[in-house]
Amino acid sequence: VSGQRSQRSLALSAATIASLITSLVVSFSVKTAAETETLIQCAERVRGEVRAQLDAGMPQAEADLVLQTRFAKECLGDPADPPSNATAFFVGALNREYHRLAYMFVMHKLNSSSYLGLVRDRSGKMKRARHDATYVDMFAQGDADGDFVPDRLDRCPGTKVNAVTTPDGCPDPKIAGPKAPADRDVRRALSYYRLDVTPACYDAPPPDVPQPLRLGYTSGRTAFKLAVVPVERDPEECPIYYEFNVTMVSMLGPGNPVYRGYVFKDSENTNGGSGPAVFEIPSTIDGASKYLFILADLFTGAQWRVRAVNGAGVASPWSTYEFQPTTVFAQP
Amino acid sequence: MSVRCEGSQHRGTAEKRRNMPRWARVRRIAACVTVLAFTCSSVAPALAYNFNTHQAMVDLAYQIMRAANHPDPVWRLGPNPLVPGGASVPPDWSEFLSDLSNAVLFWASQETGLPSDSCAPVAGTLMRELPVAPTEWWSRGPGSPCMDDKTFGPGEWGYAPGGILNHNDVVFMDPAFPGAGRFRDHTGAVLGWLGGNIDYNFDDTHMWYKPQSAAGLGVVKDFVDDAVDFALGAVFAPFICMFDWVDGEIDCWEDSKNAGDAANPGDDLEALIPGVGDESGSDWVGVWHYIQMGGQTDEFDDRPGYSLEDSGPGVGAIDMTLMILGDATGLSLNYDDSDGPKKYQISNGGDGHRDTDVRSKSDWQFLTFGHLTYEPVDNLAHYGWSQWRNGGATGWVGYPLHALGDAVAPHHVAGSPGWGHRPYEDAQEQRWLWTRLVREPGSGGSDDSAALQTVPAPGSNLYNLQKAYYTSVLLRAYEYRKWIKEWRASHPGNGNDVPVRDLVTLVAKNAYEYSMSTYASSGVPGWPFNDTSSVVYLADEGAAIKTYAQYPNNESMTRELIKEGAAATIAFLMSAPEARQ
Repeated sequence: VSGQRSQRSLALSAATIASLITSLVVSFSVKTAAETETLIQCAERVRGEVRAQLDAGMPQAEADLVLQTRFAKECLGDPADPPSNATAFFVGALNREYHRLAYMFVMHKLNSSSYLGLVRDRSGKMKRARHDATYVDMFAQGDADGDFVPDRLDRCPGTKVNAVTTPDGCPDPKIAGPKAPADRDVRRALSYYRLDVTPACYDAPPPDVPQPLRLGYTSGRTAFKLAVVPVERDPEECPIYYEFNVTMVSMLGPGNPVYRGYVFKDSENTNGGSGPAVFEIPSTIDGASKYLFILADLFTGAQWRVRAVNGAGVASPWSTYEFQPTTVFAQP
Repeated sequence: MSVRCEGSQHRGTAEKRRNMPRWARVRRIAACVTVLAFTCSSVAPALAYNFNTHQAMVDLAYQIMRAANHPDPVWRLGPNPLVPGGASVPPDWSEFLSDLSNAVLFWASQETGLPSDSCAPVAGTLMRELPVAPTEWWSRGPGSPCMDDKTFGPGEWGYAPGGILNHNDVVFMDPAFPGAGRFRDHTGAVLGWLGGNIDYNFDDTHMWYKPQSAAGLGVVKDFVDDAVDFALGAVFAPFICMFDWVDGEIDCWEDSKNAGDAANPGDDLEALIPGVGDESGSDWVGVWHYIQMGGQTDEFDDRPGYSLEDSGPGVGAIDMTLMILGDATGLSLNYDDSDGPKKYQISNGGDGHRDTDVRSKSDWQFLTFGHLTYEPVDNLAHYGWSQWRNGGATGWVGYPLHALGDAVAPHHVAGSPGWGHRPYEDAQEQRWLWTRLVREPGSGGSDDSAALQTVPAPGSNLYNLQKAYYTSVLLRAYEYRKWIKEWRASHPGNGNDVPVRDLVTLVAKNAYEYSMSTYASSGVPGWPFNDTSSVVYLADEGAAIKTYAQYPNNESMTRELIKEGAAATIAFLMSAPEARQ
């Protein structure tokens, strides 16, 4: 757990920062071919590229920071006046920090006052950076304790995580706990927005990759089932969601696939607590998924894959795609 | 822009319609965009005073302007030192009345600025002469439907002089206008509509969801439990439903299913999410409709606009919730698609007010929704004002008129989407007939618009109450008018300009000070700031509204704010024509 926690903080080693800046230089030089991208297109491209780095082994915290930094550099800035690498890095780190703080509040790791104090602290440093170009340059050279005060300006370089600091980086208890709304009111409001992240998943490791086993129609086509080798909850209170990509292969040819995505919570496993996890789509389904049953006679097989996402939104890599040349479900 | 009566942006229900005041219901049913937009908005940034309140306040201001020169002293408004407690007559009162008369003539002779189609020609029609209520004028365009009923009736599309002001139409005939003898002068209603309509500048704000994680969805929803059959929709639901009003309806969920069904086959789900995320509409247009008067400083303007980190009488539960949701989902402004940053950053305003320190595209897009400071509503006023002052169509005055309405909305001058924002404004719409004294304080009765048609007998309690209140508005307008004239005298280079940014800021300052002092003395629950009621609103809209609608002295306290807004509106309407001459 402690290892996960340190990954989530923004204490950055010089080596990490150096590699980030290098990747920025490379990515931005490539990006010139894509200057006509829309914001959304740019985000999709960058996300896909960073996702590939993540799948290749980049730690998630680093990948998320690269993602935010590249967004700032390649997507969010004004092409006529692109941000410097240092500015992009600062903005990326700050957005990552805001996200982390929100996440920590949702996970009951911060109360409303601490959260507000930290947000204001980071925003205050953003204001300082906006008016002092050297600030972001120094920040890019290192911020070992992750308080958004560059090491070169930091008189208290060992500040612990989640500390509100003075401009020179020392803990500032006077402004650390501002007046804030009642915790219960914020959490109650959040619940109505259905931001349903499971606190038990805080700092949980990424789930293992589930393995596809079988899929297909039951006899009489009363349901369509998907079976996988399940992954363990870690910790036990942290639910797992199984996300499937399923492309039904039809006799109409490759230009007419029926593609659907499905998500199931592990508690929907119809096979009980042991053995393969089996999820069911009933034939009474409505909406576009009903074509899974209407067109059943046309399907000759399926291409599919699965991944696990925990209750904090941390996903495993996808399984490899499997091709199943029949649509009859055989109980595994 | 075409507008649908039912759709994904706004969801109306019988329950919500039951919460509407009946005085507004008739036109709401016809005006689907109005109905659905503000009754279904979430506690997100939201509209300011509801559309009908905006419109009604401007109409009230105009009717008071007319009544100031009513030929019959029984129905005329103005200071009367002979009445016990009556105000003395200011020395230049007759000049004030003359200016009022000129302003009424000016506005009534303006073209409506409304769109037209073959069903009911509107363009080019003078406000006063507007022959019929143009049906669905807000959505005019090729193929727009035209309904058969084009006759005026009580309370239709906001025309409601109300109470003693109905005599403006019964007695006051102005032979200077062709068609004299008509009973109705719709100028106030049209101006009010133009003011309210600013809430439908949906393109001012477009948000998108910046992916927050390279790994996964970032946010996982518990929808999946009851939604196995629409699993792809489940993936989209967090992004579509996040800021929608979730009250047990399934519309949002249905919409997310539709989004899932429309997903591009073959793409990874996660890759689709950013493209799904365009957020605009009534929940977001209002981020430009705030001006924080609580002592916060701003890097970019004289006063900050919407800024969650420093909102309200203190950051409230909804303010913080929105900040957290914004950071959890990556909700961010899409600069290219949003008109707001281009319209409301004011350079070279030329009115002596501090201009905007203009931000770049990067500045607007770098940070997520909750960490931006948006432009204040006085800039919105100036944007429209400068267009109109330089010869633009009548519709442009909607901007300053709208801003003046927002400037007397407590939550807009405190800068909070929470602290009871929605329930307060919904309650004021419900209680409008009591606030403007068409119904006696403390009396029962329905909120049906028919009440507006009742003309109280001279000498009756209601007559006296109305006359005293409307006169107090007029006297306050005199003060604002005087302030504008003094500004002109001290800015000789500006001719007869109207300092709309200063004016909106001044009105907001007054409204803020009044709101805070009332709040400080109101005890628990507070008025007009009640943070818990915004949270309650999420679960039980009606109960939250009641905390205001049934609050002791709610209407009398609101009346003071409306007085301020209507008075400033009168002063603006008096002074604006001089700036164009």
